Amino acid sequence: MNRGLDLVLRRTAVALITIFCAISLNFLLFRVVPGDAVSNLARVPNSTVAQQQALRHEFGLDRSIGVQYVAYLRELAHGNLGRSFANGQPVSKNLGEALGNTLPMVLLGTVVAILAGIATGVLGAVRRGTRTDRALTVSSLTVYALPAQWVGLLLLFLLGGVFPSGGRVDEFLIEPSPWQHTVDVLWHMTLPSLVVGLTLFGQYALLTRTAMLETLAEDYVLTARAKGLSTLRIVRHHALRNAMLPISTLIALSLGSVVGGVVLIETVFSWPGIGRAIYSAVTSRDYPMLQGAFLVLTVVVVVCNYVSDLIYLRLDPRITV
Amino acid sequence: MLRKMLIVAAVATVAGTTACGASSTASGGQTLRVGITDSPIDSLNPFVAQYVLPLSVMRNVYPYLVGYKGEHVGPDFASSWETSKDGTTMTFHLHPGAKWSDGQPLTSADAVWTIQTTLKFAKSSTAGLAFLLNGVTSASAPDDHTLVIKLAAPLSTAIAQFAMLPILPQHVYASAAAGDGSGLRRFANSAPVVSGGPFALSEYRKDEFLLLKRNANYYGQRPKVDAVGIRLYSSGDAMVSALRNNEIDQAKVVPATVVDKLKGDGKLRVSKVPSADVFVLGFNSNSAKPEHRELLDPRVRKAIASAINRPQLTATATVGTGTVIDTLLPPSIGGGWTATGVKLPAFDADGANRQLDALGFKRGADGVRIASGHPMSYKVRFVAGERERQFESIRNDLGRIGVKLEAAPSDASSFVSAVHGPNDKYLDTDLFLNNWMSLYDPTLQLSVLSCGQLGNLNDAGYCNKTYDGLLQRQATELDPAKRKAIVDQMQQILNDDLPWIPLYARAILDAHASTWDGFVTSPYTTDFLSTNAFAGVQRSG
Repeated sequence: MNRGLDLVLRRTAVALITIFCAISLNFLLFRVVPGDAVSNLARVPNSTVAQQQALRHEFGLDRSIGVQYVAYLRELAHGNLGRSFANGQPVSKNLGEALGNTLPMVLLGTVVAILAGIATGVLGAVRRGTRTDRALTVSSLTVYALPAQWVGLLLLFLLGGVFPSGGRVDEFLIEPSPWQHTVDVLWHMTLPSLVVGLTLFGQYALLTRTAMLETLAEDYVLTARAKGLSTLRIVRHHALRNAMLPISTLIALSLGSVVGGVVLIETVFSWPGIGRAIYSAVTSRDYPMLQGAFLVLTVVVVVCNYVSDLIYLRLDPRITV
Repeated sequence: MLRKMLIVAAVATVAGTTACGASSTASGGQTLRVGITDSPIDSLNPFVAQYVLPLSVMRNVYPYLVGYKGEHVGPDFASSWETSKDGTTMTFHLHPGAKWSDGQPLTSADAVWTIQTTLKFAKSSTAGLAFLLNGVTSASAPDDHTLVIKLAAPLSTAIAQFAMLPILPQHVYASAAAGDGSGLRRFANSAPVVSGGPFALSEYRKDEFLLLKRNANYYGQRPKVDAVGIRLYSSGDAMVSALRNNEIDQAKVVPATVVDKLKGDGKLRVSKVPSADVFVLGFNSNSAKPEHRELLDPRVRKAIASAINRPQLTATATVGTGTVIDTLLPPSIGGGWTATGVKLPAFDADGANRQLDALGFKRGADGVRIASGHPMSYKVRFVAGERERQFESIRNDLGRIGVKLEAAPSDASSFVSAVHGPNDKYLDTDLFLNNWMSLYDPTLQLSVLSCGQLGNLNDAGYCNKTYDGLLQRQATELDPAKRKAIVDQMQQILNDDLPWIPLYARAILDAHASTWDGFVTSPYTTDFLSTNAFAGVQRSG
């Protein structure tokens, strides 16, 4: 069999098994925590034990964990994530809205961070040991070390009057044209995206610098220099290509985790995304929402890893097993 | 400084690439822009919603038979009513010719349908509203604008109950009530909502935004504003920043830490009113609790109460904005319900020490007293993130009398399970910090500590048959003076037994732009007992 195909099949199998394990763990994890959805929902003044039992029955919480697990897997296989205990809406609808709000904001920040990070890292490596390098390294390390929510609050404090203080759109914009709406959304996205970008920028810059330094010291770069190639050409065609291996891995890994990790940024900027949805689902023990949200996060992480594996394969022909 | 400059430089770069121009906020017209922090909307379904904000939205969207003006109940959809001589039949005269926002007639038939349906599924899907019909047996409509409600017995709380019962459009909800009625719990009530109140809910985006537009078909005095937009913030700092930058006109529930700063801003007005939200230190009062049984002794509880410096605790926990209270009925609910003669012991750490010495609880080597062979060292359960300052203050105070406290924070769900647990038997917990919001009518607040609420609302596992008897009596006593005497007596019983040590009522802090006026405050974060909050609001300049 073709070794490349064999590798893809193996990686696919590993990804699927990982997702299955994560689904099972997610299911179990929230049921081990004390308190359940009914203990919140049923505490109305006239509630009786019988009513609480009825509600547990309606949610299927009166069945054994094993039976609940099988039912959950069966529904999942049919693509049904269930209905939220809290608001009775399909989980897929709740999640779709939240994810639809989070993704553009996170992607904008990430793209900016990737471009700025790689550029900074390359510049630092090429100018190794100079003042520029030191300044870039110090600034990368600084933003890498800053907590996201603190950066968010600081930006809010400094730029609150320039950019909107929170929310996703200006709801009071009367019948905006599509162009006005787009501008409005981007305007609101600026600060939260910027925080996402700043928190990711440092690690991209530092890793790119290290990877570039390694490749720039390779013999083939020396050969390229000896051939009289320009620095720009050496960096673009010889050094950066090889340095992209670890960078692409880091980008894929951080893309996966950033979606779930923006809860604090979303809180600071009142952004109605997946982080806030998860937070409120945890506090109300909304199992279907939690399971759905964590399934999405798991799939995002696993898919990003999987894609990074495939990119690796494409970038580095030496990898065969 | 370096950090700041780096950030500012980076901001300038990115802002240049993404921002194509400032958004033009439509602040003209009569749309009031309101911001509110940490006020979740659990649901807009009246049978499900329990949080204050969705209840306030419903108060403005649905008709109610009666409503509060201040602390007193007055006419609303019913312009007048009378009670039969035997006190068991109430007749309400409704606004004739009223309409829902979709043009359908709003009549007594809608009220009858709401009441009968809530009674029918009271043990299942409509339980969330059914407590408002305690003592009601049936409703009927002799004509389109007359509603007759039958009571099992005379009921002093009837009007207060009806003031919280929304009248729902039968033509919208009827299909959900088919069969076993379980559709009522699942009813999404998505915007636009068919409305009958002063406003119609025309838009709702979860965790984001609500838009209330003036309802042209409203039977009462129309609001002055065309619309009220409520933006949901998850951070108080962001909301305050939005107010200062004219992104919103009113900020509800402003953090106490920024009040002084806002007061110094000439373009803003800040209001501070004591809330009906009462914070308490609770004791597990289940007489069957296996450990630390010394805490069941009212003398120990009194000693603990007198060791807590409540004025200082209040000042610390609320940044000087709260009010010290002595009973579970705070003065802010008015009506004279607070028993003025009921007082907690004044702060006296020496007296508390003497009291515990007299009980024979000697101090061990580490300074912690020993009671019945074990140290007086207790876990205090509370909801994380909200009560740390209270806890620290109490821990310091009790440390001085040889009682050691350990924090046991958790999230709200785990807190309820632990305080009631295991299996609602009240065996695991010693002490807890909680808060309860009293309505203008004291019955619900008083009922929290009744035997009937064990395993449900009762967080202290407290059960006193005399108290329960009085709770029943005050609900049927029609003479206001006599009813007040019973309520006073109940507060005295709680002061003797001390299942809770009332600590303070926090303040409700709102701020609005000086270009608006006509705001009416209430002891609730958002007013869910009247439509006063936005009724008279208008642009002033």
